[in-house]
Amino acid sequence: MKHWLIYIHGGFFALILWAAPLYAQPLIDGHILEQIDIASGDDDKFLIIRGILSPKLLSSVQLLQEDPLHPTIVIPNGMTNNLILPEVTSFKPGDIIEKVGIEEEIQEDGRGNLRFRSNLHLTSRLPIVLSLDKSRTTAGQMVFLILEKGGAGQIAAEDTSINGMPSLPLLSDNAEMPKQPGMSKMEMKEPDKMLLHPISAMMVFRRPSVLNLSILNASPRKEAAQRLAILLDRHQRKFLEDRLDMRLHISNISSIREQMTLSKTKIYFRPNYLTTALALATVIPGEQVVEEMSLERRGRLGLDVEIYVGANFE
Amino acid sequence: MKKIGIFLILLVLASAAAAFPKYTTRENALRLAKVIDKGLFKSHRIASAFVKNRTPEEYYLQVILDDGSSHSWQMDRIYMWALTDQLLLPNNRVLVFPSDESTEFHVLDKIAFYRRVLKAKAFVKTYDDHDLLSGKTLKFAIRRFRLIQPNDEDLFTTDDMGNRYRYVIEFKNGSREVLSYLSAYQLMHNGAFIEDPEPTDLILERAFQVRKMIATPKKQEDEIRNIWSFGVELEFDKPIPLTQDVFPFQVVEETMRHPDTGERETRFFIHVMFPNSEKVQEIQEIRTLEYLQHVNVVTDIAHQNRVYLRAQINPDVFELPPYVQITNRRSVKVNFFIVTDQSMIKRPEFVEAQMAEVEMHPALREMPRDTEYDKYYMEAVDQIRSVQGHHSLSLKIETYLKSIELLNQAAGHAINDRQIAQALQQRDVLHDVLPKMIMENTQQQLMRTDITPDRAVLLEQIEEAEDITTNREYLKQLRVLKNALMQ
Repeated sequence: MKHWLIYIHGGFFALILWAAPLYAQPLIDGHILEQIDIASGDDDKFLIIRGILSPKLLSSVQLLQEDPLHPTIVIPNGMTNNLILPEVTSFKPGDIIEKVGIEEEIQEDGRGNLRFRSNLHLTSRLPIVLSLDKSRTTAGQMVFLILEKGGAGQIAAEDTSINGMPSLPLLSDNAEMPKQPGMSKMEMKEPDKMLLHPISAMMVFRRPSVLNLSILNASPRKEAAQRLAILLDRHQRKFLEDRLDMRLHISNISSIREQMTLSKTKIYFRPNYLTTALALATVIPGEQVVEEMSLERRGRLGLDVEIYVGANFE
Repeated sequence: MKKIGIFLILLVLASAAAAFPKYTTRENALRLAKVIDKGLFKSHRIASAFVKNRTPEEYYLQVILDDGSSHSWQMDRIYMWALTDQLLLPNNRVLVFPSDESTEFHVLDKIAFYRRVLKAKAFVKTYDDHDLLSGKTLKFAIRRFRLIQPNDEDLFTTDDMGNRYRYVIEFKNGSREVLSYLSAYQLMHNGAFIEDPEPTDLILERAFQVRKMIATPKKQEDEIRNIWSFGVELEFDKPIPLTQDVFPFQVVEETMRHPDTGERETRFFIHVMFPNSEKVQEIQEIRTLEYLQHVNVVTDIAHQNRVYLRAQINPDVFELPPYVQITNRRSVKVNFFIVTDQSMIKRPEFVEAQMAEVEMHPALREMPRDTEYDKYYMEAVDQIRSVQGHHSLSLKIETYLKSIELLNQAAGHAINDRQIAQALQQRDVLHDVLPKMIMENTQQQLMRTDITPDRAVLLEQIEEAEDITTNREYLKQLRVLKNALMQ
């Protein structure tokens, strides 16, 4: 028993001795690897390394692809979380990669600083070429595109060799991804600058205290707009004002061109007035159609919501 | 059937003519007299046309026909005869009236129109008022142009002004455009016919066919407001080259009977419209997806080549509009949002200024003006949005702290209650989330064995958190962390 205690204490002491210089290291950014997965897109397969990653160090990741059945991913400043990530990760029989073995290296640079490196040794069922998919790589995952060597989508990637050491330097932060014919990308196109993301729009929007409403008759019945105005003003005002937290102001009641009739009442709203328009739709009798105002309509002064009273308004 | 059609046309024309003015201005009458001179009225040629007036402002025409008879023609009758082909101009031209409330007129040179349309390779479709695509344009490749023949059913249809349809332009995507003389004139003069498309012109040929509908999982879109997003992705047979602004949405209220009780009840459905698209195969419905029910793809029966992503919604919880993203892998993703904190949507409670404040023009309310306040506030919004979904807590904390600074600056430049309330409310949202975030980050940093935490920075952040929070439990934990950092 005593022997065991000595071993435990000794081990703990050794750990402290080992950890002390480590703890005294200057701040070194790095990656913590926690999980390795394979994912498939429509035509593409990906190797995903999940964990806490440092995007600025991605340029130092290296691919050793001399042997297309056994490529190696070298991740400098990469440590594995041994509690989560096993030494060997095996995949299903149908997956292109059979297994990934992890080898951790700790080196001293001669000035007392420790350097970490994780080497991921892949065993593939078919000859493959890996490339870092920078567009999908984030601070939470490092994504490698797996291309079958000789397949239609294979990139013309050749290992570069420095001092006899084969290594394929990965893309630097400023480097462009090589064109890969036949590849599909999952990322979204650049959004149209005209359209704000709804959450940004919500944050930017300053909700006014008054809701300016216009009611127009697009029904064959005379005075339909007026009747709706009376309904909203006399019977629904309190409900709407309480619900919308805005003062209701009907700024216009009129008719549109005689020939222009709408079968259903339409409610047009400015951006950020969706809830307002829906609240109005719930209190107006009949069936309504709620749409965002076109750019042309938005140019009209003093209006937040426009209601075109249709033929279905009773 | 044809008799009913003719009766309906006459009814439309009679009502249209009833509203049309009888007299016009001197200049308009002079121009009209010149235009109709030597034209055909029924079976008679117009020998000469003169201008006469009833009052100094009210002019009409006096016409002498080739049989020597003289007639007074008021504008409403000329309008009616032009609509019904009883009045034809020389050189295969026709009179068109753009409005039934004004005597303004144009002359369509049919020969020039045919030459233009026969050479055109593409048509620029501009959508009308009250269309969901109102104000937007799409370009379609033309397959062929033809005249409506007397035996075509379309002969008996008119637009809402009574202009009879005369021509059909068929597009390669299978849709078609039916034109009256008036629309032909307007389209020709609005540059709707493209003879030599530019390489940059996006000309739509075949319609996009929907192949699959996939639900995309829920993810946190904005952690400080606890806004989540989920989506529905429609996959097509080919890449979608369109921009997101041509995928509008509408909310439609429908009254239907409950299948069990038979009682009438109102339901709301969201329709996200996909232009130039068709559904040629069955798409599996998604019965429930977060707050959406019965999510399916339906064909728009009122418009050609349109499909809707349709789902039932509860109007009380539908707060943010859907956001469309066009992917590079033959699909379009529609994102929906879940807002759990209702206060984000509600107007903040604040005391209105005693002095009446000039309301900002609504058109300007959407995007902030270029004031000092807006500059700082927008920068804060951009910063906050930029780190949403980012994994690095340190980066988020740094960014949020900077954003608080910017919001304080914005508040300092506010010129009304609304602005100051907005900036302070935004700052308070950050104040709510930051202390917990700082505590988590400090704990994580202390537990990491691979790097040495920057204790000075973490201490600074802990002190910030202490200043911000009033939560006693947080303050206690912050003190513990502070001690750990100072050891």
